[in-house]
Amino acid sequence: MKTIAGILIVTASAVCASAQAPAPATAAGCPLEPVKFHACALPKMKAFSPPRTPDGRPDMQGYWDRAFTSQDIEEHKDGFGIQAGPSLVIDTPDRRIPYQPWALEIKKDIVDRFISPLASCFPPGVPRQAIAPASHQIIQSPGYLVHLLEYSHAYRVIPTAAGPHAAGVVTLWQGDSRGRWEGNTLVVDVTNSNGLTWFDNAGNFYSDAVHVVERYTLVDADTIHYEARIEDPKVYTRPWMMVSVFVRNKEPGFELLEQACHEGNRAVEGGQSVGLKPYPGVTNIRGGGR
Amino acid sequence: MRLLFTALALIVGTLPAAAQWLDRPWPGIPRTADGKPNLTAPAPRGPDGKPDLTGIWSGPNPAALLDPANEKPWVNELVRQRQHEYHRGRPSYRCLPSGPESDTFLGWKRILQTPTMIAMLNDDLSYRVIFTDGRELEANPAPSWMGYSVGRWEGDTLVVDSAGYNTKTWLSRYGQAHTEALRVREVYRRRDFGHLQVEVTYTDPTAYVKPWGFKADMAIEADTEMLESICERSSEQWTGTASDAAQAAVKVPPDVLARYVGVYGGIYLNTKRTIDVTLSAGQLIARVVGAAAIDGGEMRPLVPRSDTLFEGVGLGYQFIVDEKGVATSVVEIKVNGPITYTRLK
Repeated sequence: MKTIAGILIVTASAVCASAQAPAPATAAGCPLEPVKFHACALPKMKAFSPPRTPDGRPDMQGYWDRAFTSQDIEEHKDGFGIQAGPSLVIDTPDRRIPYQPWALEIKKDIVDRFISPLASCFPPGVPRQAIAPASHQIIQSPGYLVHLLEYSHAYRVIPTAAGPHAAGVVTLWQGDSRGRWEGNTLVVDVTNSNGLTWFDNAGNFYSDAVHVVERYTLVDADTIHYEARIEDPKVYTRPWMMVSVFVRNKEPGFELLEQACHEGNRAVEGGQSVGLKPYPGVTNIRGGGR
Repeated sequence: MRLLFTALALIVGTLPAAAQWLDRPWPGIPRTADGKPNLTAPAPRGPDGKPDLTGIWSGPNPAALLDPANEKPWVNELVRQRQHEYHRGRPSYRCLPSGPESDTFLGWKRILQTPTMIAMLNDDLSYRVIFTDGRELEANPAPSWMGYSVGRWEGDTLVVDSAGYNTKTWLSRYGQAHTEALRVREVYRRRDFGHLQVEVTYTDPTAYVKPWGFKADMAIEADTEMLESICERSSEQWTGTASDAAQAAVKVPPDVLARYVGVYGGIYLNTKRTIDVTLSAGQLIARVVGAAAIDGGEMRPLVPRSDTLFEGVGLGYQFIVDEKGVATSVVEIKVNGPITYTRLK
């Protein structure tokens, strides 16, 4: 019973995703399977000359939809409220997340023990932000690229001309992002995570030591190749990479709607009623705290 | 204990978002000879030649004063009821978007402008978009928390009209209500690099006799970053009401209460303010007024818990008395530290 309730709680946070049309099988002429897409997109990204903003940067502005969901970033089959999907991990031999043994043990029953952070309406964090439910808008102004998210009505600011990261004592739900342009690619260095967010509804996790380097590159006018290199020596045996895709939303007159996530949200009580606890971060689970 | 607990709960939600780290020089900022940001340099302009409002702006308290004479009776009744419940239903205390609430101009706000839209980003990660692509404001947009906003330039002045609000948001922290017919007009003028003048007018004829609003002079925050301030716990579990406080009240003789009547002055959030204590029908009332009207003239009934300790809408008020029992100061008890107000008269 506990497991089913856990799944219910987890899927509650994915409801707003189901309104989207089914994703097409290709984007920019590349198959929507992360490893194949990555291999296919790399030469196209090099050849493509993207439109520019007035200050000369690649123009990524507009409305975007995710090509993959955040049900489970590892390969998964159809399930209750879950649509089958490929692993987004591209560079480990079995395409699974290279957890250290103790971490793999925690992963096994994490969704049976803890309430999904998204069910609690917390911001998605990075890299989940790239695969969080519903549509995105990207806007650019000299020195900034900003994601406006339909999900949870949150946003994320990426300064592209800023100084060093905030001090290590500052921990944030969305992390601290520092972007820079390398040719046509926006490279974003993300640190200062509070370690309280997950990759997905399957409870794949990192600690507050996670360091993410994201790369956003236009493959053609309507497709962004998204890559995140994840490093967390507390949790994984090695750094690894995941790949996702943003596809331009071309619906005429499209606008972001708002989602006041906390409004009427009873998922937390539902989880608590079957013994699930707020997710305290993996360092606290391992240390037996909280 | 309950008194203090409530005070804790109330104040946690009102800490200003002054989170910042050590100043570092950021690129693209006009500077004076000594390297400081030149606040009076000309306002930057976007590629379309319009003033560019992009930046992190810090606002004073907008001083959206309570004005019972301008509020329809049903609004006054809601204001009274919301104070009675220690404002626990305020959207931001419930982790919900603040919508058009005037207090969103208090503290930090990031503005990001492009030629076709302007994003207003709040530190609770809520945001709104002002379309400046020439579209008209819809006559009757679907109600939402943040409303629907359209802006147009009149010379160097940005005029923003908004509609389409749901009725769950407040117009100030005191709980002034509005209907779905609410229209908001904002006027923005960036007069130089460092200063942004904002004028906000609320029009809602079934709630207010005439349009009302406030001005906020916002200042640029240069060489820093705005951090997130995420609501992690809603106010649903808060306990206590003004009636509970009244039931726990002790009897204090009128001549003792009379020794506390006076005006007290202190500093709150770097702003001078006074607490004006009066006695009305056997009840002490604290009216909190500041230069920046931190408390908007709210009247707080002070309910006695002892001869010298009172509860005023969830906060503690401890009168310090001399050997004759006459108050020399009053200490406002808050979670972010007690504040002493010295008697002025």
